[in-house]
Amino acid sequence: MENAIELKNLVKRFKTKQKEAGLAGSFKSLFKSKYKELIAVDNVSFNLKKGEIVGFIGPNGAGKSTTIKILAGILFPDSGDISVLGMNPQKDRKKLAFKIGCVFGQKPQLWYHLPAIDTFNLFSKIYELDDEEYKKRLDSLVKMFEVEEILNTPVRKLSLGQRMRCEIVASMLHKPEILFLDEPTIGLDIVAKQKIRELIMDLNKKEKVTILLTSHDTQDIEHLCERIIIINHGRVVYDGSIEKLQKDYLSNKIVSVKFSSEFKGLDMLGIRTISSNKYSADFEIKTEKISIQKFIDSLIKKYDIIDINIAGTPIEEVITKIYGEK
Amino acid sequence: MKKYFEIGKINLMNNLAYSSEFFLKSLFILVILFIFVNIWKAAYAGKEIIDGFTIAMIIWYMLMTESIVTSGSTVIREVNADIQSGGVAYQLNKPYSYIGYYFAKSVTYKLISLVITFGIGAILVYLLVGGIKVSLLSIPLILVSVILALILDFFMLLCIALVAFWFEDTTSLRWIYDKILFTIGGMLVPLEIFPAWLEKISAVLPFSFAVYQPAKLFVSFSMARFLEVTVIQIAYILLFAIIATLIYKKGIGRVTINGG
Repeated sequence: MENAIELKNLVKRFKTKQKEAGLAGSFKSLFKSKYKELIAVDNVSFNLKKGEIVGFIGPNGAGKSTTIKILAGILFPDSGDISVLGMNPQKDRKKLAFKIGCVFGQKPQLWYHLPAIDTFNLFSKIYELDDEEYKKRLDSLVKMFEVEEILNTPVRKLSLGQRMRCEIVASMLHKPEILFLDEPTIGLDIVAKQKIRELIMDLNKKEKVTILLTSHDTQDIEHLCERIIIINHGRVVYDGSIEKLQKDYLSNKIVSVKFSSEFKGLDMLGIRTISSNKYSADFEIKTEKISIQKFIDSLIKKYDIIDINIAGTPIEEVITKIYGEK
Repeated sequence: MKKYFEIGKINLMNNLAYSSEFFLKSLFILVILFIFVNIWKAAYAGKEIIDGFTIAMIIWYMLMTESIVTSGSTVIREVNADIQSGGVAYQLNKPYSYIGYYFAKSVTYKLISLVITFGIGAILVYLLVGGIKVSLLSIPLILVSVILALILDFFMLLCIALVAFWFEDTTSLRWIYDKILFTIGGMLVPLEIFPAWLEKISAVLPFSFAVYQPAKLFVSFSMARFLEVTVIQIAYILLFAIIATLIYKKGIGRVTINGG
């Protein structure tokens, strides 16, 4: 399949002004500015196939948003080869703008004091849409996102979930081939999050739009993406399927056991007791050192067991572990 | 072109959602005008004409300059906010020109604001000092001059606003610019009141073409003067538009976006 995005050796540095603490520091910085250089994106490369939906995650300040903004032509890179739909985003910013859509969860693009429909109408002009086609398009998106009822309510009166649905509609009016979603579920409650996820999934399926999604909610990623790219300290630390991530990083299993006899501890290689009390315990099993079967066998020999539950490490923990790596 | 017209339109709608701000600003002008009418009355005690202005002319002149200057432009505040909040990201991912976007927003806003302020002020001025002679034919030409003044003001402000790409906050520069318009721009008094040397310098600087020149045309119109002013206004507009474009081109590569 063709690539929608090709990114090779992207580097972006920022200079930030430094100031010593206190008033004296403020005066000092009036005369002499000290700058600290920060590498926000350090040699990042990846490709996105057309129609793919990829989760792009990393801790705060890892370089996710910077990368997305470079892909959208908003920021200029220091070096690297970038091709988005065959175009260079910095050189062809306006031309590319017709083919991409962006939603930055933390920054609204809808006109705050006006109803969303006014922004939609404005965008139809900005994106030079044919009136007839725009009406049809708006109609279908409005139905899909269930925003008929709130079209004429000033945006400032909408709930965050309603607003986010309208934000996505605004970004989809011109049928972009790529959609950048930067934390689209930020601040939403569970129900609203679920709704947004379903809609994003629908968009990807029905319109074959390529989606690059960032989120701090691992559930978003688990529900939506087959592939994830993890970035930390400006570098890609993982690029592959979620399953593979679980296999690679999750050789550990969590086993919870309930006993009918009193539990007096278990000391074996590859087993860590996470927590325990008289009649129950949670163990972490390093499966490369000891198989689950061996562990259970030896457990059964020592204790009477009422119930046993085996679970993988939650993806969240894997990601926490990766974030913690230097 | 059409998209910029639509941007201007939606900006007006957005501002009219808070129309009280428009009117409050205009009401404030009434207070200023009332004070100045009294000051000028004292200055004119016994005199018919000062530096070629009757008292009625000078008050109408002031109404025009006040209306132009207070029509304001949100471009400085908005570009600052764009840069500080990272909202610039949304301006740059749309298929329009960043400068064109603010041009459309600012000029429509200024024009409407000016019309409202002038309209409200005109009633008070008429009641206090009576009318002045303005020929019907000159009105559209004066309007052209006023619109060009607003455009010139916009591009000068834009040059300041875009410095935000480097300094993030340009409100202090704006403060200085405003004071320049108040003085050598001719907002507070017509340039004729100045000493001759200062009058000469002020009359060729771009600031007077954003304030003094159109207001002077309004109270004493002459065709020759109109043509001269228009040509120079257009030249200055081009100059500042080019400077703004250069600043923009240089600055856009260094945009950093706060708040991830």
